[in-house]
Amino acid sequence: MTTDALLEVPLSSIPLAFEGVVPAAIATVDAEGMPNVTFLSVVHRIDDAHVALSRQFFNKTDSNTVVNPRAQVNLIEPASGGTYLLDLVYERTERNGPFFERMRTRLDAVAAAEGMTNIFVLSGVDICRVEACRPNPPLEIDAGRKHNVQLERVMAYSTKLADAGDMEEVLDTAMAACAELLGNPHVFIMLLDESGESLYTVASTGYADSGMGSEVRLGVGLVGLAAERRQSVRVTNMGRELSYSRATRVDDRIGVDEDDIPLPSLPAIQSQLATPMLAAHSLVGMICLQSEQSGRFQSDDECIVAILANQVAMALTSMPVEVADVEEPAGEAPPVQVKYYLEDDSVFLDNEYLIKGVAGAILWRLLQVYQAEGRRDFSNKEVRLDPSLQLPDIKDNLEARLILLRRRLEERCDYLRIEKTARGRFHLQVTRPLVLSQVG
Amino acid sequence: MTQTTPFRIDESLREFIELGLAVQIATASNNGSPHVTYGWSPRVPTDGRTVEVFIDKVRSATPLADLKTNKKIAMTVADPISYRSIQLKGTVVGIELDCADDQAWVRNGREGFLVRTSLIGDDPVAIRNLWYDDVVRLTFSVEFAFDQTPGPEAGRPL
Repeated sequence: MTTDALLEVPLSSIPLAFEGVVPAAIATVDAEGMPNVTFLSVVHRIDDAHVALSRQFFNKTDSNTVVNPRAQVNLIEPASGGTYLLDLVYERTERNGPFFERMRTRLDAVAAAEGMTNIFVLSGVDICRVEACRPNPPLEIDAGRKHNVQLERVMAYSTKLADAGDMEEVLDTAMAACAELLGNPHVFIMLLDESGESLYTVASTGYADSGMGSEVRLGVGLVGLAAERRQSVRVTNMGRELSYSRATRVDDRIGVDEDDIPLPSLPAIQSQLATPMLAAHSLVGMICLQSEQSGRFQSDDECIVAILANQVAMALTSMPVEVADVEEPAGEAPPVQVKYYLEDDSVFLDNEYLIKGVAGAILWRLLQVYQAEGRRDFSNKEVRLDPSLQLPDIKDNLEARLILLRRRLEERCDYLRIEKTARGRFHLQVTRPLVLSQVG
Repeated sequence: MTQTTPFRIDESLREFIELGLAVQIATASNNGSPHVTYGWSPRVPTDGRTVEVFIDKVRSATPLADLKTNKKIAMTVADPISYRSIQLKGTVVGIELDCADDQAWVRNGREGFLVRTSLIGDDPVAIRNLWYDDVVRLTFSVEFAFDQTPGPEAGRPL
């Protein structure tokens, strides 16, 4: 293996050129000396002397490298427009392994973001040795901004996460860490539900609509696919990537239920980073960041979020389960019609959708108790053990659902609140009369 | 690679080529080393059998050196918005170093490219930095044409 030092421009000195913000081009030559040139979505830097190219629609490029392993790639540094020529020699094609899987997930995730599947059939990843890297033209070029990672701030947040007393503090700390360390205020966190088949949004910041309670199935959309594969997905130019996926479309869109709460989303996403939260080989949830600026999230950012994500996962799964007690009055105002649909545990307040699933079932149960007994104080433990709810034995999930429920109530009405009163205890605040009715 | 008759560019393909799109040019040295560089503002003369395309003079040393011994050339034209792409291959039949009369044409093509890339979120300042004022004009006869749009049809002869 050659080293970075032998290249005129070390690959490590032009990290942004490898972000795929602007497509590169690759030229090869056939046995008769006829060149071929095509665009490449991303050139991946493997190490100081190797890059990887995805084999998607490279019929001629592939056949050329069989007879002549030489190739040249034109890389573009997106911030400055500086360009670099890489002289490559094809070494081998990988059709499995972690690097292949990572590239496959990224391609699939971009297609999934458009509701498409099976668009990009990644047949392999070509590993190439870099024999030369030089600016073109040979001028002094600013290699572009690279985020300055502040390790001491990462450590400070790590300590704060370790010290967090409850799930809400963990989630808020994680979002604050992402916002500060990456300088990006648009973050949301999803947790895996009790079925293990869907994620739901439990916390978000920096969005006009919080998306609290929005759900996505594993394998569906960019976030769902990244979650299913347990792989981080980083997209640096969403507009371009989506154009690419549309061009290759074999329409296979997945329908969206109109009643569903939409995921948190910026109006014009250009960069996106979706990182799985993993603990003990299991998926706990996802941390997702978005930006309207292309090339916003770099490889170092991906590393930072991965560290945070796994620490959040460990914090959530090791959170102690508490037991516990508490009181209040309801005002005289027009009654609220609370309708509960048994079929999907959805709850509507005055015919406005509030929530469904486990969180809906919990709310319905609390309101029933309140109506029958006048009781407003509850403990997590009694909810967890309530046979009518049939909650799965996942200890952290209840608290997440209560957080979700509380935030949804805060967004949707001013007469129902869930307030934490002590460790493992909460208070149901009701300030209008309720009329409960069950459907099904 | 075999093709019995020279390729003729029809009107709709000419319109696409001249739209102000992303263009890449490849040449090859005699020993089989490829070289890739930006192309700008391709133009199709009325015969429909040749194409003129411009490359930055400051980036022209290697392609011109290649073309002294191997006149084969490839040009890919891609729409950054739709990703529709084509590739033309052929033989260089003319090289013009003085392109003063072509400046307006080249500028128009580049501005079209700037607009299209801006529409998909590229930084216009960075895109503007991709080119240089002085250009060299290459004219090549088109012998092969391919659909290069990403997808299962990529590589299909036109």
